[in-house]
Amino acid sequence: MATRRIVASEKTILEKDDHMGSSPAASEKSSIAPAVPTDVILKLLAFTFAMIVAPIGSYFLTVDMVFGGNSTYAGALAAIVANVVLVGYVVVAMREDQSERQGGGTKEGKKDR
Amino acid sequence: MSLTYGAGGVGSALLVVGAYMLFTGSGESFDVGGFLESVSPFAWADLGISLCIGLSVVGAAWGIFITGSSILGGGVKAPRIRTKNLISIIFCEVVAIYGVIMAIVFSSKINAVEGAAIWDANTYYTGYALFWAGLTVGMCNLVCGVAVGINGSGAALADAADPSLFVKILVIEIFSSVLGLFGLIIGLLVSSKANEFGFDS
Repeated sequence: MATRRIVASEKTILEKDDHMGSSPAASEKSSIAPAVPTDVILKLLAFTFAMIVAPIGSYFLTVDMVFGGNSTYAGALAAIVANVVLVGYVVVAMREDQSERQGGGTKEGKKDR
Repeated sequence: MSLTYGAGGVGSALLVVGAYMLFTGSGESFDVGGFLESVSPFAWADLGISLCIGLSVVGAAWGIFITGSSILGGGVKAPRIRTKNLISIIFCEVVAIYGVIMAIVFSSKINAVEGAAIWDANTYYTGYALFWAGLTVGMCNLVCGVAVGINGSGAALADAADPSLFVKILVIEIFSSVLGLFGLIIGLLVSSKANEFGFDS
C-alpha cells in the first residue's frame, strides 16, 4: 500500500482521447515514401530476370548454332554467363554503396541513422 | 545413434531375407549385380537428373533461408545494408542455376529407344554416368549452397555492425561459391563421355 499509484493526478483514457487520439503517431504526417528507392528495386528485378534467362537462353541459343549440338560446351558457356551476371551485380551493388556513402546523405538522411 | 539403429534394421532385414532365400533353395536369385542389371538405364538416367536439380534447389533454398533471415534481422537496426547484402542471395541463386544447367545438359542425352538397344552397353554406360554425375552435381551444390548461406548470414550481420568488414567476408563467400563450380565441371566431364541413348557406334 505504500507504493500505491496516485490515481487522481493521472489522466484517464477518455481524457487522453480528447486531444491525442488512440495512437500518438496517427496525428503526425506519415511518410509514405517507399523504404527502398525505385531504382534499387528495378536493378534487383533486372538482375534476377537476367540470372534466370541469360544462362539458360545462352545454352539454347548456342547449343545448335555455335557448338553444333555439343551440349558440354554449351553448358560450360551457360555457367560462365551465370557468373558474368553475378559479377555484374557485385559491381553495381558496390558502386551504389560508394555513391551513397559519399553524396546521398541529404536524400536519405532519415533512413541512415 | 539413430543412424546406427537404421543401419542395424536394414542390415538384419537383408540378412533375414538372404538367409531365407539361401536355405529354401533360391539363394542364387539374391543377387545385387542382377538387381542392378535389371533396372532400366532410363531409371538411372532420370534419377540422376532429378537428384541433380532437386538437391541443387534444396541447397540454394537452404542458403537463401539462412541469409535472408539474417539480412532481415540486421536490416531492422541498420537499413543501409540492403543492396550490398543481396549479393549473398544472388550467390545462392547461382547454385540453383548450376543445377538447372546440368539437368538440361543431362536431359539432352535422353532419347526414346526401342528394342534391344535399351539393354546394350552404351545405354547402360549412359544411364550410370548420368546417375552418378547427377548425384555429384547435386551433393556438391547442396553443400555449396549451405556454405554460401552461412557465409552470407555472417556477412549481413558483420556489415550491420561494421561496414568495413563486408568486403573481407565477401572474398570468403566467393571461395565457397566456387565449390559448386567444381561439381559442375566434374559433372560436365563425366556426362560428356556418355553417348546419348540410341547412339550407333
